[in-house]
Amino acid sequence: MHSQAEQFQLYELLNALLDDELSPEARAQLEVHLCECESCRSFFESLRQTLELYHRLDEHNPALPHAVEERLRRFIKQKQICKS
Amino acid sequence: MPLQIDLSIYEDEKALLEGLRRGESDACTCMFKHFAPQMYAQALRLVGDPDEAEGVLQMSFIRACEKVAEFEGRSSLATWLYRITTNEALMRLRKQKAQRHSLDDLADSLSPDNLTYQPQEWPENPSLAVLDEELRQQLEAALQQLPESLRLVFVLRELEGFSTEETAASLGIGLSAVKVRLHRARLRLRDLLANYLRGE
Ligand SMILES: [Zn+2]
Repeated sequence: MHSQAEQFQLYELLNALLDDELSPEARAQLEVHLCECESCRSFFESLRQTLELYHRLDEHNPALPHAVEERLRRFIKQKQICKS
Repeated sequence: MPLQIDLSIYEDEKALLEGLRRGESDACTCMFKHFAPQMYAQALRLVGDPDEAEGVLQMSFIRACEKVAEFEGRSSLATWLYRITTNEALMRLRKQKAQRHSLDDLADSLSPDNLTYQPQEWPENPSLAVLDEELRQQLEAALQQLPESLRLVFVLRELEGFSTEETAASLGIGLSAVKVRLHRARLRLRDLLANYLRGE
């Protein structure tokens, strides 16, 4: 188990790992720790999975709510955004 | 942001762009059909309110049509439109902020000592392979549970691919504030997702 202070430090390091901001040495050191420490490894995995899901949010095109679509159509017409 | 574009009557994006520049209404309809849903989703994530997001969407279309002559095609049309939408959303938030007292600075004044770090338990082998509608809604809802200061940084950095520097400039905050807020946002979202996955 890590102390609260250690967890904080590790959390910052894991973020830096995600953002590819670690020096090669620091990265290697952290990777060794991840191999050895089950709790950090599963935490890191959960963080990674969370972000991966968010990155996939825009994979499929969401539908525009019908009312919003109608009002936008009218708005474009009204403002004569398109000249013709 | 990858987007499958079926430009139907326009052969490609270049043709659509030329149509827009000539002010063809088909081009406008085409742009509308293909990009409005994503622009709206993006605006909603940033401003967090459907009425405001709709206003952002409408203004973004005006801006896009005003500026289409200046668009040089260095990025894709989609990227360009999403940037316009983001700028419009941020402008609207700044205007709102000028009118209300902001608690934003609180997020940065919390030192590590008074921030509890007790990640929620993550379920074993959660089924995350399928990003179905329910999970999608959960992810969007979790975003809206973040304080604005964290949400904006997360959306720009993580979803819209802004760099730390671009995010800092867009929000008028420092680089370290961007990082602190991004890290907090990630943890909060992870915890919210953990709660959801454990069925709470
Ligand atoms: Zn550890």
